[in-house]
Amino acid sequence: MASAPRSSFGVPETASVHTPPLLDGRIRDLLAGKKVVMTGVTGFIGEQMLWKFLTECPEVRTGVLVRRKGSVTAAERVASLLKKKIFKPLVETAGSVEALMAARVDVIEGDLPNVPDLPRDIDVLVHCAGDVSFDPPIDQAFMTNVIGTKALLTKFRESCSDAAGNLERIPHYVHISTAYTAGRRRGAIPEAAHAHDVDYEAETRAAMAMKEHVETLSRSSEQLTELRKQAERLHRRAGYLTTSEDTERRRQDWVDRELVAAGTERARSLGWTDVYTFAKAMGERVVTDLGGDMQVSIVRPAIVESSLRDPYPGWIEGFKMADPLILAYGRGQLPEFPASPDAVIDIIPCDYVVNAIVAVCATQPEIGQPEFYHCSSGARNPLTFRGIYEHIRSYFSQHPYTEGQGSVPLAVWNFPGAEPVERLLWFADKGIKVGNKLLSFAPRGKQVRAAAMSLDKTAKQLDFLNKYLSLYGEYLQSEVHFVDDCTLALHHSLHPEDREAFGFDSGDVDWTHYLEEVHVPAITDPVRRLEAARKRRSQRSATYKALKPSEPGTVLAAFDLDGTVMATNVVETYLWLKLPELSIAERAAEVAKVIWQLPNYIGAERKDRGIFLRQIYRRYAGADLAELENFVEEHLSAFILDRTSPEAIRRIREHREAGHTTVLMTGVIRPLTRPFEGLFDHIVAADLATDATGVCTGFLSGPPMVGESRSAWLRHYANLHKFDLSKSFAYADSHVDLPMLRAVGNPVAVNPDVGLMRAARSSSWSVIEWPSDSPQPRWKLPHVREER
Amino acid sequence: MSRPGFVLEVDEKTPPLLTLSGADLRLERFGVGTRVAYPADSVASEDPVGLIDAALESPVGAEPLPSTLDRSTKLTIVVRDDKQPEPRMRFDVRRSILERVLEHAARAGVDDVQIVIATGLNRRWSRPEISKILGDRVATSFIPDGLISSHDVTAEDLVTIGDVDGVPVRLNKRVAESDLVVSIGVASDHTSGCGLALGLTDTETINRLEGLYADRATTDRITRIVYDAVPTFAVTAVLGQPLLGTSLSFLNKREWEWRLPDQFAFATARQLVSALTKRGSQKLFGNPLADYAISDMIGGDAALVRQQAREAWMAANSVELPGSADVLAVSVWGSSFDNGNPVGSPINAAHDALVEQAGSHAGTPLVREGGVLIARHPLSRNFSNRTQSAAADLFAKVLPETLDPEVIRERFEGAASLDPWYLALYREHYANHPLKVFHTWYRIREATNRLGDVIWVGGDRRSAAVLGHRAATTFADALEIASNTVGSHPDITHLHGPGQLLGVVR
Repeated sequence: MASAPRSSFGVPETASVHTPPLLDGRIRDLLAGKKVVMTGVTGFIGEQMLWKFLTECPEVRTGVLVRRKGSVTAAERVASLLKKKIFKPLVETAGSVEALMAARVDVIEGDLPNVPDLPRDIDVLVHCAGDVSFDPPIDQAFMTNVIGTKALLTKFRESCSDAAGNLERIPHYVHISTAYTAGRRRGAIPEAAHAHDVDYEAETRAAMAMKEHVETLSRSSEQLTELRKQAERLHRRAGYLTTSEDTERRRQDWVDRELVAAGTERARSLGWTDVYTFAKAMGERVVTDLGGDMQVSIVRPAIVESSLRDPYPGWIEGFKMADPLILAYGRGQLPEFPASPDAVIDIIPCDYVVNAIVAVCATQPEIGQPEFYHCSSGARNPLTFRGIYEHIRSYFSQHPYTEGQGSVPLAVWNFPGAEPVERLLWFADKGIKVGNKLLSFAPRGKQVRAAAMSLDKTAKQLDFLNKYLSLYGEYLQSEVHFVDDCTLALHHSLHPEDREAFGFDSGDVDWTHYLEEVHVPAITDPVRRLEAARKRRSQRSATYKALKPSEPGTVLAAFDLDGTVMATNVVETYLWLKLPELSIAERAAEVAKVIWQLPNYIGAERKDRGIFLRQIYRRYAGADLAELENFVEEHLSAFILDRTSPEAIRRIREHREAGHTTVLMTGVIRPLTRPFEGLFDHIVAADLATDATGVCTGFLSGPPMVGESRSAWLRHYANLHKFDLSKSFAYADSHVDLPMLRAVGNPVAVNPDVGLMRAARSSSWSVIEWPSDSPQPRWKLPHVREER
Repeated sequence: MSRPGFVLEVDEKTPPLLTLSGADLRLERFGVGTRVAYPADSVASEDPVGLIDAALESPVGAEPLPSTLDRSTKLTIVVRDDKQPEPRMRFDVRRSILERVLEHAARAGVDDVQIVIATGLNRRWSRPEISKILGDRVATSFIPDGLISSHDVTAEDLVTIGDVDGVPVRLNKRVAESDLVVSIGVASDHTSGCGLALGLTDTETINRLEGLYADRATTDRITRIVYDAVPTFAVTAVLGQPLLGTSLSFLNKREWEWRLPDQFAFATARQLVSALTKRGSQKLFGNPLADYAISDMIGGDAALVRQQAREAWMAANSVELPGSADVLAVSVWGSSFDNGNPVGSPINAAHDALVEQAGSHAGTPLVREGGVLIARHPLSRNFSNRTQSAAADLFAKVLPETLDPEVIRERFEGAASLDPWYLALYREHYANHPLKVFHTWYRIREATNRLGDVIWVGGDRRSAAVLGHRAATTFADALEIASNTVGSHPDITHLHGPGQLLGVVR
């Protein structure tokens, strides 16, 4: 009778299976008296590893290689690490953090690749430091993973060698890599060195050279011109400095992006998914090359997520790979995701990884025979993408992310594959571009702002989706499974009494329990709390706050006029001044002229407000300044006051009552600011130049006060009169006024245009409405014969 | 003589009647038994010159004006403006009187003539306004030489003319130094305030006349001091009811007498108000002008003229009502009290409803103690930023904190009346004096206090709450709310706008 065909790989020939060095006692005993030095203890796995050694292996002396961060020394960083909740019992037993450090933790201050001399008594070195980002710039990836590893190994060797460079004793080097060093390989990945013939030295040199190259490229005139144009499109109106700041920021971003792209492309050209796994693979090769005469173990975890049991269920530091996606799903921001539903997502709880590493530390591998261990779940307890989706959906159906207002229905994913989703993304991206273009021409107003806000929200979601698709797309389609026979063998060799504390058999993870009761709550609960706190914070007004009386002469309150205090613009004020003295026909002609010029004006306004203002002031040529002032006095002042916003006036008066010095900063001509003289201590306005007979020349006597001149003026004025700008206030409505708002501590965007609203929201400034509910209609002209 | 006012008792045959609310006009069917009080009919004016001459030449309690003028007389003509008839006069009768007086002065060869507008706490007049109201002829001959001015209650050169309880009464300098004052004004309601005292004295004195603790005795003493200070010849025109212009002509007629043009005009106005934007309807209906017939013209001794003019107005406009109602319903028409603002500001709307309309009675209130006033007005918060700045601030900042006049007087009145910005607006930008809104509020509060409830139909709920009142969506809802206070079958009196009547309760 023929046997049924096998659906699995079947039972292997015992002889062909590699058996790793096993444990022959309790781990604490095997490691007793040894000194274990770790890198990366400030990271996710490293922190728990330190905790594990300190808790479970009382006779182990630990050392940590930590870098200084700014003015915080390594020792201080370790001390603050040990103040965390999970170390509390240990600290209590030791008496204090300092006592614990003195007794058990040897701090070595140093950085990768600038590794200091290491102590000469290290038995086991666990290299756990590394970039966790999937898309670091290529130079950075090689710097940490290849050059850093090399430097560490070199110093390690020195610490175990005599003066001649011969090893005095054989140490154990444990390298933490990633299972995904397998790259774009498919199918079963064995626990062994990957076969490839990439020269890591050459790659490293190229990566470092790339940095130089891209930096140089970014400074080329073509590139800088392109970036400047991009910056100008957004910030031209705000002024040169704002634009140049933005250009430089864009240049740095461009360099980063290019380096990331260079890394990704290089990795893909050699068969890796991204530069992270590529550099990690190169790092492994460094280890096997340089550790030829040492005991070497390489641990390759897959996707490490929150702990299942230790130090407590759900222990996690920061956001890991899948977590932003889980949250986004709960928030209803992921309508669909182009993953293969049957792709195996190889998740492994953090404590399993840590336990495996500690167990590996206790083994005695053969010299020159690097041991590889996969910490993964995919081979024996596979969790498919669809499985994760269902668990997460089930969690969020029972515990909706937001309740009441703002709650959203959970998306149902049909897994249509990448193509339709990408098409959708492409169209959405185009839609957003068109929307933004339209918005840039839209008149300002509440609805426009609301439209811009919803557009921004959509764009943010798209960005998010795009980013994660490009980052994780490959992983979510991957069809690999990591064989973890060695890891399993090691697990089985655990002393029965260690099984409880050190077990790491991924086959025993109950995914329903892990995902729905441990992991997803562990990442969503803190975010919920955070968001609730943020919501409370944002309900308190950020920069528009109740005024407290202050010492007179210390606080400034600067107000923009057009659009902020008064609903009008310079074209309109020009017409107010001009039209009333004309006959009906002349009026029509004048309005027609202005309308004819309007496209020019709008164009100028979009480019540079200064140019625009100059064009308008040109029209005043030939007017008698004294008569103009007289006209304002007689006919316009009442009209102007009627147009101001009552809230604005009230706020200005409150500032005055609080002892603040009020300043009006405006581009309109000075005569028009006459009615406000009682409200402001200082008025900065445009002064029309006149000839000898007092007739306006159409030019200004100085440059118009717009954009950066306003912030410069404020700074200088504050300096001269000892005002504290950080306590001062500014109110403005337009993107042009950004520098003025940035100059003070309490900037408020009043009826902002889209540009300013975006800037205000990103800087969390208050955005308020000051409606001018004047009983006068907007287009009403001042009558020379003013009615009552 | 026009048809006098009367009370219509609504029965099944009564057509829908006109109600006004802000800028809105509508026809509503009233409940059977509701009493609707109509003011006297409005009629077109006639040339007032004959009446003016009669008043000047046969005055009461004084010599005829022409005989008191000679070359050396230092003559000041005071145009009283403490109260204006609302809606505004299309042709201001004060201008005719003024021109006539100036003719007499010219005939007598009087050299020193000046005109002072007795605006009191009201807005001072701008030059365009002077030309508009008093005519180009007066404006061009007086303005350039500075011979015409609005009284400034905060001026420093006011002259002390006496004191009451040790507090000085200070009068406009020019007026105090004149040999003869001719005081010109109109009588358009039953109030007894003296236009000279209210219009030409200082803030302190006006506050004693109209403020929270005003009392009759002090008022009389101050008025007497003012009359005694300068020889005054008063001329007062007693006005009839407003006759509105073509597009609003239907307002002048009783609904059952509407002809096709009236119905058409109403339909048009109604559709336009609802179809047009606020701006559009403002353009059409925001600045109504009305023609006022002069029912009488009285000249002579100021005190006598004041009393007789008041009596004449009351006699011509009184309407007998059978009793104080449980519920008094009024239409508040924005255009009639806030010029340039077709809807009207909430404080002035409340003043119009509670003080002007409900307070227009001959002694017995139109609504019983503890009764309910139902007014129609949207109460939207639109204050003129220039002329009503103090009112806007009172509404936005003070009233939400306290409604109590005593507390407000204690804590806010003083500061507001000295506030440099308000005073700058008053002196330079023709705004109301900040004290005015406080006085307005005290009157509103006094009127509210004796009522069980004040309910605004179609009013903004938050504004009504700020005023300490309530808001209802429809008149029926308002009655439902009122039923807690006055029961489910209240006695309802409705005052039919836009004119004003004097309710005489039997």
